[in-house]
Amino acid sequence: MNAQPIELKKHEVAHHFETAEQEFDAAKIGMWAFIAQEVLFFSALFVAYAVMRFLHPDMFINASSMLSWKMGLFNTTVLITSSFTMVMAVQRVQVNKIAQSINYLIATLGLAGVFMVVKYFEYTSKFSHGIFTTKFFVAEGAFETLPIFFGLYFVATGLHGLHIVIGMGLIIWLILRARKGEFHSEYFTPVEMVGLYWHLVDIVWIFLFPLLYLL
Amino acid sequence: MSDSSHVGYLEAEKGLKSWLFTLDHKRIGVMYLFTVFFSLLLGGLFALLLRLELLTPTTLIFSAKQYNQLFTLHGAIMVFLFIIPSIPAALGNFILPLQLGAKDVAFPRLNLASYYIYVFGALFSVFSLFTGAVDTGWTFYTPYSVESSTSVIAMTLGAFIMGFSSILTGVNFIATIHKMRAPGMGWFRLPLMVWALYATAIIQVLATPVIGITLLLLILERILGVGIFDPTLGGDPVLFQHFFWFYSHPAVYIMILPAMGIMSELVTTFCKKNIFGYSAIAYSSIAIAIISFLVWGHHLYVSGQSEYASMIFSILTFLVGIPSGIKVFNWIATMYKGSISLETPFLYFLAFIFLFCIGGFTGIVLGALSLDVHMHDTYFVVAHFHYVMMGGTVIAFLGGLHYWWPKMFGKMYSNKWSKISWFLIFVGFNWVFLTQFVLGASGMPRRYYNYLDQFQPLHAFSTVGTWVLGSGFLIMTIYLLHSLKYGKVASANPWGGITLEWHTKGPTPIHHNFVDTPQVNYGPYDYENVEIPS
Amino acid sequence: MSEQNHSHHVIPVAVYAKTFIALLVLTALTVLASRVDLGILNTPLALGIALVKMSVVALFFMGLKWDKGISTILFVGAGVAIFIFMLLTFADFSFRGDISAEEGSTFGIKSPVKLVEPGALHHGETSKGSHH
Ligand SMILES: [Cu+2]
Repeated sequence: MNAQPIELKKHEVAHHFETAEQEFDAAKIGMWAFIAQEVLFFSALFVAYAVMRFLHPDMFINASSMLSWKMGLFNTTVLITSSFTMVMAVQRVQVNKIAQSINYLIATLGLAGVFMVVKYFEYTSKFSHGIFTTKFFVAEGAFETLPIFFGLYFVATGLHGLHIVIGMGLIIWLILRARKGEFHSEYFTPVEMVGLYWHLVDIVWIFLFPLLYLL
Repeated sequence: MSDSSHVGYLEAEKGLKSWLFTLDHKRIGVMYLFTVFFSLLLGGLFALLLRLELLTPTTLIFSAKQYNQLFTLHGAIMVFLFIIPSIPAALGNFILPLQLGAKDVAFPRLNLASYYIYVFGALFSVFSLFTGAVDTGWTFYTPYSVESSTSVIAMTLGAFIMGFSSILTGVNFIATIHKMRAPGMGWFRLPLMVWALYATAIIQVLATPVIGITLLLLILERILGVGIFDPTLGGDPVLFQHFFWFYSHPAVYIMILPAMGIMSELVTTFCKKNIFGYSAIAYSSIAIAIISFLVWGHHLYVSGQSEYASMIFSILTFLVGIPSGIKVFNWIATMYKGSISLETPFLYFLAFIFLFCIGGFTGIVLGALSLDVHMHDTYFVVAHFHYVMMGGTVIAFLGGLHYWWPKMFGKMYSNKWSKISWFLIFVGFNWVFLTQFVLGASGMPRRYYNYLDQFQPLHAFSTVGTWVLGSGFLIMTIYLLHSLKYGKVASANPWGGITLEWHTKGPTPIHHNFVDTPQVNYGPYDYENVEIPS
Repeated sequence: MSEQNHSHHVIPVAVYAKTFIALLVLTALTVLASRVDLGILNTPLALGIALVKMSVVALFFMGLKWDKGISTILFVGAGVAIFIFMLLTFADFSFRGDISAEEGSTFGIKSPVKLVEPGALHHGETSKGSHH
C-alpha cells in the first residue's frame, strides 16, 4: 500500500501565531476544553442513571442481567485495544515513521468498525425481543418500569456509538492527510487531537460498561 | 504592511463574500452584533405586544394560547438568541484579541463556524414560529413540553444547536486567553473584561453541554420515549428541572459576568483612574463562576424537591451575594476622587450599578426559601430577573456598545440623542418593572393573560412604561444606524482609554490589529504610568 | 512557565504497552469483581475500578502526566462539576418527603395551606374552579 515513501510537507504556522509551539499549545488547550464539555455532555446521562437506579434498584439489577456481559466485555477489550493503536499512531508520527502510523490508524479504524458491528448485533437482538425505547416497548418483563432502563441504555449507547462514528470519520480524514505527507515530527497536531478525542470516547465506555452490563 | 495600516478592517476587503467568509475576529464580531441586535428588537417587539394584551384584565388582542406562544417566544429569543451571545460573542469577539494585543482569536475558523452554527440554530427557532409556535415557556418543563402539540422539537433543537455555538466560543476564548497574550501581559495585567470573559468561558464550556443533552433527551422523549421524565413509567419530571437549571442558573452568569467586565472598563476610563481592588474583582469573577454551579435548586423550591435540598440551595444562593458585592463596592471605590466625565457609556455604568443592585437584592429575597414559597411564579420574580437580565446585562451591553462603537465603526453617534435615549430607557425600564415588584408582592401570578380587576391600574401603568422604554430603543436604533453613514469620524481613542484596544492606530487594520506587537509593562488601568494614546 | 522545547519529548513504546496491559487486567478485574456477590460493595468497587482505568487512560494515553497544568485543571474541573451535579441532585432525591411526612405533628407550626382530607379532594375541586 505504501510502496513509494511519503514525501513530507513543511507546515506553515498560521498568520496569527508567533511560533509553531504557540499554535500547538493553543490547539491542545482548546481540545482539552472541548473534552471537558464532552464529559459534561454525558454527565446528565450518568446522573439520570444514578437517580433512576436509586428509585428502582431491583429493576436495574434485573434489567442489566438481560444484557450480554460477554458482548460488553468483548467490546470493552476492542475499544481499549483501539485506544492503544491510536496512541501508537501518534507516537509513530512523532518519530517520523509515517507508514507505521498510517497502519496503526487503519487498525484503529478497523477496531472501531468491529465495535459498531457488535453493537449492531446487540441492538437487533434486543429489538427481536420487543425491547425498544419506551414508546415502542412491547416486551414483557418482571418489572413495569423496565422501559426506563432500556430508554437510558439506548440513549447512552446510541450517543456513544455516534461519537465512535464521528471518530471513524476523523480517523479516515487523518489517514488521507497522512498519506499526503502532511504529518511528521514537526507537525502532528490533528493526529494528537483526534487521539485525545478517541481516548475520551474510550473513557465514556469504561464507565458505561460496568454500569449497564455488570451491576 | 505599512500602507495597509491606514486601511481599516471595514474597508480592507469589499463585497458580501468578504464578510460571509471572513476569518477576522472583528468582522465576525460585527456580524454577531447585527444579528444579536436584530434579535433584541424582535424580542422587544414581542414584549410590547405582551404588555399591550395586559392593558386590560380581559382579552384584548390575543387568545390564551397565542399569549402563551408569545411569552415563550419573547423568553426564548431574548435568552438564546440575544443575551447569551450578546456580550461574549458580539462585543467579546471584537474586543478580546484587541485587549490582549493579539492578531486574532486562537481558532479563527472555529470562530466563523460558531457564528454560522448560531445562525443555523436561530433559524430553527424562528422556523418554529411558523409550525405552531411553542407554548411551554422558555423553560420547556416536562411533562407539558412532552405533550404539547406545538413545535417543541424545532425550538429546542434550535436552542440545542445554539448551545454548541456558545460552547465553541468558550473553547476558543479559553485557548485565546491562555496563549495569545501580548509579551509582558501576565495574568494580573489582563483587563478585567478579559477576566470576566474567561470566567464566562469556563461556564460556557462546563454548563452549556448539560442543556444540550437535556434538550436532546426532551426531543428523544417526544420521538422515541426515554422514560426518565415520565411519571407514568416511574420517571421523574422534576429531574428535568434539575437538568435544566444545572445549566440555566450558570447561564445567568454567562449573561451577567461579561456585563460586569464591561463595567470595570467603563469605570476606569471615565474616571481616569486605576481600578480599586483589581485582584478582588478578578478573583470574584472566578468565584461567581464556581458558585454558579452550586445554586440551581433555588428554582425548584415549590416543585416537590426535598425540603433539605431547598435549605441547602437557599444557603448556597446567599453566597453569590458576596463576590457580587465585592465588585460593586470596588467600582464605587474606584469612582472616589476620580475625574468623572459623564459621557453616554458612563451613564450606562451608573444605570447598571443602580439597577443591578435592585436586581441582586431582590434575588436574595427570592433565594430565601420561606419568602420564595410565597413569591414563586409571581410578577416579583418577573421583575427580579428583568432587573438582572435587562437592568444588568442589556444595560451593560448598551454601555459597551456605546463605548466601543467608535472603535468598531470609526464613527461617533449623536451625543444629544444618545443621552435622550439613555434617559428614556432608564426611566422607562424602572417604570415598567418597579411596578411589577408591587404587582407580584400583591399576588399577581406570572404567565396569565387575564387577571383580577384589582390589578388593572398597576398593569396598565406598567404597560405605558413599555412605550417609553420602547421609544428609547427606537431612538437608539435610529441614531446608531444614522451614525454609520453620517456620523462624525471618531478619533482612535475618543474616551482616553488606556487598555490595548485604544492603542491601535487609526482604523484597526484587518490582519494583524497592531502595526507593531505591543509590549505590556504596566497594569491595564495604570493611569499614572501609561500615557493615554491619542 | 514551561520548558521551551518544541520537539515534544516522545514517550517510549514500552510505556504505552504497559498501560495497555494494565487496562486489560483492570477490565478483567471489573468483570471478576462483578461476578462475586459482595452485597452493597459491588457498585463502589466497580466504580472505583472504572475511576482507576479512567485515570490510567488520562495520565498515559492522553498524556496528562507530561502535560501543562491547564489540561489537568480542565479535565479535573469537569469531573468536579459532575460530582456537584450528582451530589446536589441527590440532596433532593435522597430526602424527598422526609419533612412533609411529619407535617402537622412537628414543631406545632400551622401550615399556611389548608390541608384537605384525602377523600374530600373531589368535592373541593368543583367549587375551586369558580373561585379562581
Ligand atoms: Cu438561578
